[in-house]
Amino acid sequence: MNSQEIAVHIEHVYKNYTSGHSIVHALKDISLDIYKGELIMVVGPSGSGKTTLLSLVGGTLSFNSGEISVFDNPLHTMTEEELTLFRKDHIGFIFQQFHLIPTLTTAENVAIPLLIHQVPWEKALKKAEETLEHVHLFDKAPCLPKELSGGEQQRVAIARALVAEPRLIICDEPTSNLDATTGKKILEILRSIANGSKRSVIIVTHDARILDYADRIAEMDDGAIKEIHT
Amino acid sequence: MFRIALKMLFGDRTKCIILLSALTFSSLLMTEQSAIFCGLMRWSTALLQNSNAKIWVVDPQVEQINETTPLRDIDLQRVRSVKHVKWAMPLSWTIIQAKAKSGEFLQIQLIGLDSSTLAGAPRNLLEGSLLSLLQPKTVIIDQLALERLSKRKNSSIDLGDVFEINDIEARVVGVCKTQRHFFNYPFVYTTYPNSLQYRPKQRRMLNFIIAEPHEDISPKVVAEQIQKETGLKAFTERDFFWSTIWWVFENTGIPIAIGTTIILVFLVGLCVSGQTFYSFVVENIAHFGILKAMGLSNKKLIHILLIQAFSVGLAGYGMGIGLASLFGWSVLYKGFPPFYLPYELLFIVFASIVSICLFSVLLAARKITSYEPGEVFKQ
Repeated sequence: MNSQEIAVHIEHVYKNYTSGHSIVHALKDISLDIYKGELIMVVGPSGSGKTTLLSLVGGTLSFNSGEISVFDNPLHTMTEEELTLFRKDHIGFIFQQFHLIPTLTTAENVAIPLLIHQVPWEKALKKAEETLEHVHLFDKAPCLPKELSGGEQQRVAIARALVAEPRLIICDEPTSNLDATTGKKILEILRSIANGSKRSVIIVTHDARILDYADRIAEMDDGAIKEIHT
Repeated sequence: MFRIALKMLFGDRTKCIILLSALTFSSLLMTEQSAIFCGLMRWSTALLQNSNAKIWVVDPQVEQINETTPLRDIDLQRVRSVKHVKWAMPLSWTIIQAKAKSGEFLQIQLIGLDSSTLAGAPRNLLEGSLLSLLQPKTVIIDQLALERLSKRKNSSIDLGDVFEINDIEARVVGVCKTQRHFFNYPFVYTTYPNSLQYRPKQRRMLNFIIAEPHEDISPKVVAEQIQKETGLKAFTERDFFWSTIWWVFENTGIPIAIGTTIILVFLVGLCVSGQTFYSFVVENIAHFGILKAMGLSNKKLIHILLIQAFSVGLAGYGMGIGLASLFGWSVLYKGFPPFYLPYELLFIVFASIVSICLFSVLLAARKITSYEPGEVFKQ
């Protein structure tokens, strides 16, 4: 951990789903602080609420009660439009399934967040290529995602998450579709992001092989944080 | 995001081809069927278009130009006596049998023009001279008549050649270009006195009186004046055109037959395009969801859908119009079936294609705007 400045403040958050006639308590009284420059992993069995927590912090899901502030932006008071702007300016997403757009080249996929920021096409592509160089994929810039291996695709997804220089990177099972060596490489990149640029990284994972890279590990069960390991 | 939107759509070749095909064929069939309908309407008013007259006077019972009740000869004098009528001339029209040089019989439309002024003469004379009509037993034939009278080998007809109308000889002194008629019989022009010779005798032989108002007086005003003073029905050229068109609408199955086809084509285009575009969005919902998660607003996502739908819509419209024009060019060359493509039709078809695109976007937009970006994590 590089600093004790708070990046994400979560306080008494509850999230319920309605499933048919019954109510599912997905998150129960979650309170957690995540610091700038920290890489925190959230672990726990399936259905424990890890991904729901990730979605709330990323501003992609609303919650029933409590407060979440990300870089002093109170998500619980924001409208949908404000949340959209917030995600654009502050969050980088990395998904388990990579979710690269198959008809775009690697560089174009990486450039998307910049294009959303209305950066001109040529400039966005140039910046995307520079970011691809950081994940050692500069030579793959003109390739389509189907021409890349799983590890390469995940590195492209990392480049896409980084290109607009967000302050919080949210990763959902980033290594679960990768072999051990590739998974380790991905974690090294994510670790260096947290170390080098004071960005916070939250990783939801089942993968016990990568836990060593975390500054802290939040263990969840049945919608609550059971324990936080340092 | 413009390029991203297009690359997303055009990268999915199957969907893109289905969409493009649906919009192209909708555009093609709507244009082609509408142009055939417009062509038929032009054919149904061919008499009006071939005779240059600002006012048409007919029996009060007459509603359209192809169904006339003859007038009395004295009616011509009565019309001439109306104030502001510059001139009024007789015009006869009948369908009669002609016998080609080869011995073959064919139906023709015989038009009788005033012998002193030749008012109502064809506008576009290709060969010969109008004044030659002043000679007895002479006619000017249109290109269709030329083609039909020359149908058999070694029996081609030319200026100076003779054929028979009702057993009376008719010498060809000119060839003109006319608007083809709905009945698809060729036009043959002669003078009014000559036409009385050719036609079987009837008590009344005058079908129309054509007239022209004095300068600075509107044909509409003079037509109303003629009606008031003579009790006959007087149309301006435009009014007679629309009266005929409405008569066709009300009394024939043509608008229903062609209109049904056009509506069905529109609906098929709407369904196929809407369904294909919707399924394109559903299949790519995760990608749209990611864009949303990355901070693209619903408004921008709808812009992307509009760009995608309208790019393929415009391409389909262009290709459809192009193919319809190609069809039109080929039929105009042959002269059959009727085809007339006014520029207004291009706008109407464009509006239809736009509405198909908007419907497709509307369907897809509902799916995208209601999609929670958080659902991407579940994909």
